Amino acid sequence: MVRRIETRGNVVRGCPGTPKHICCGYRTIDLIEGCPLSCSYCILRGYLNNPGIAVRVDTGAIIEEIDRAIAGEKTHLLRFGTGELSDSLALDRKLDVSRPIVRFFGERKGALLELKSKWASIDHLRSCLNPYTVVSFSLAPQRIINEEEQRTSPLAKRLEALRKAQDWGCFVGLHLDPVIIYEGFEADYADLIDHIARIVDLKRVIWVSMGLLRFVPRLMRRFIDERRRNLLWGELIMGEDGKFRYIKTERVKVYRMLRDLLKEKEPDLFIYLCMERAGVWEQVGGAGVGTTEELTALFDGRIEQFYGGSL
Amino acid sequence: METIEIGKINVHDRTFCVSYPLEDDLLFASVAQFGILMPLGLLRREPPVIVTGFKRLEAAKRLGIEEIPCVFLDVSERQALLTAIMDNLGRPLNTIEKARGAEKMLMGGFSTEEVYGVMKLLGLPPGERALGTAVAAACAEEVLKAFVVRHRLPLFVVEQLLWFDPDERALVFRLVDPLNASVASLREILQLLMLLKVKRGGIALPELGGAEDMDALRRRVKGQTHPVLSALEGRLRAILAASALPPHIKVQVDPAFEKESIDIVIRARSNGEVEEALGKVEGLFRQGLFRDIFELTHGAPHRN
Repeated sequence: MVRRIETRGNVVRGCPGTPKHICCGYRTIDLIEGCPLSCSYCILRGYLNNPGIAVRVDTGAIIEEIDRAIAGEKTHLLRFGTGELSDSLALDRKLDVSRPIVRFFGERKGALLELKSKWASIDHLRSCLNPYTVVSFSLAPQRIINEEEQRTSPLAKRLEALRKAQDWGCFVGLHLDPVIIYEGFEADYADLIDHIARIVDLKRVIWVSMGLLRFVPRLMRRFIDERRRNLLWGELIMGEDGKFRYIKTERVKVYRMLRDLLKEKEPDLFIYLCMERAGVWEQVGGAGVGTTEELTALFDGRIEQFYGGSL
Repeated sequence: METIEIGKINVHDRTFCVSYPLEDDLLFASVAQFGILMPLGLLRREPPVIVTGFKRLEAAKRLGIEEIPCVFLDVSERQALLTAIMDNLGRPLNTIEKARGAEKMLMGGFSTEEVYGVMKLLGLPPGERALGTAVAAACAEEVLKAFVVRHRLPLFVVEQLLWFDPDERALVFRLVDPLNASVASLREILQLLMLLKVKRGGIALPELGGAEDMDALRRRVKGQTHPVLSALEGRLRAILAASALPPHIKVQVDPAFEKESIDIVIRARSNGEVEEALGKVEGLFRQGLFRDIFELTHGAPHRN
């Protein structure tokens, strides 16, 4: 059931991040809370108490809040997203809530909006999409989509939507998150990256995130009860932030593998780790990121590279 | 108070029996010495049905007593069940007895809210999940109930046990029974075994049997669920053992090997002890102790 609600308090926030881990400095717009896609591993299953979906209808007030945030930021180029407490596109064709916000970013030209999704439905936004909206998809091997993301669009549809967005003049983002360690995952992820490279123009991918599965403790028992073999196959430990995640040596191995596969396809890809420790960043190599501030600065550079002086 | 011949009571009707197990050595000794002092509560039926005093009756039967004191209750079956439960509240009930109380109420037609109310009194968390576990525990195989009582397990551990198939539970009992298991250690091992079962589709005794204590059993199970972590722990143990650290110097590492940093703790009572400990730490530094440990905490050879 979808409830339409009025905004109380701020809906534009800094990404909550996770203690002791490096965050990308994203700003979230809580336009929708709750998600109909119901992925088995979804953090929302552990966080949101209300099983329904709430949509904020007063977009005017929300846009004003975004505008104030952009005006108030003097150091960085802000990146906003609506995919933190929901999927950006899953209900958008029906509810049509993104359109005014997409339009606003196109006119404002001072920041980027990222629509992050697993639901390949962007045709309804074609008339308003603009270069200041980054269309992003979370990508996973089809086996994981079949078993853990059952209500989402198939991989082929997601890649098709990414290509379509590129053809319409948008930059796109790729999110390999959550990467799941299961029996035979290495070959499936290699196939996935081959598949991505065949469909998407990697030179016009503004960023790629990698994040391995992590979840709040209360989901552990649920995964056990549901016999989620895929989710429990890898070696899980309790991280410093109180969430379950794979043991560090395994994370480093997987990040390196994915990074190498991606860089083989396009050496200039901008790849970042989502919610990782500085020590892991160091070992995965590349940018030498030690703090959220440093990662945010790298994003500034990447955006500058793609947009030049138009932002 | 009246007396009644045991032969005239319907001793097979356990509708109101919450007690488990019925055998009670202390009560047996008391009845043997003093007889039955507290009368049994009997529901006035033909033949009478026991409401309270199942354990006393059991002791009397074992002692060959033929006549026992009783009080007849002229109440409904609902009131009789509540009487049976409340009569037992005066003593510490084990988890199976609490579960039986909740299960009997549910089967007796009490509303869920009424059952939750009594669960609170019994010290069980009122709620659908706990009630489901209580009902399953009350109806479980005898060997599970005996294990729960023997190890004084709370409901959340019973819930873990019920997650396994009866054959797997029997395996758990064989693994754990000879060991001195605390609730916390059993809980941790059960969690690991659940994980192992989901990963592998089953658990096997040959790989896990023969542990000398719960810690060894935990290490054995963890070796299968967490092979990388277990290997790191093993290497750390070996490094620390080889370094022969004196008891007043401790090197502490994050148990999940997430934190790259380590803590070096010195316990000292004087300047002299500090100086001596620092000298020892310096010696260990020169031998490469900390470099070896940093390789583990960083997950790779550490440069500096």
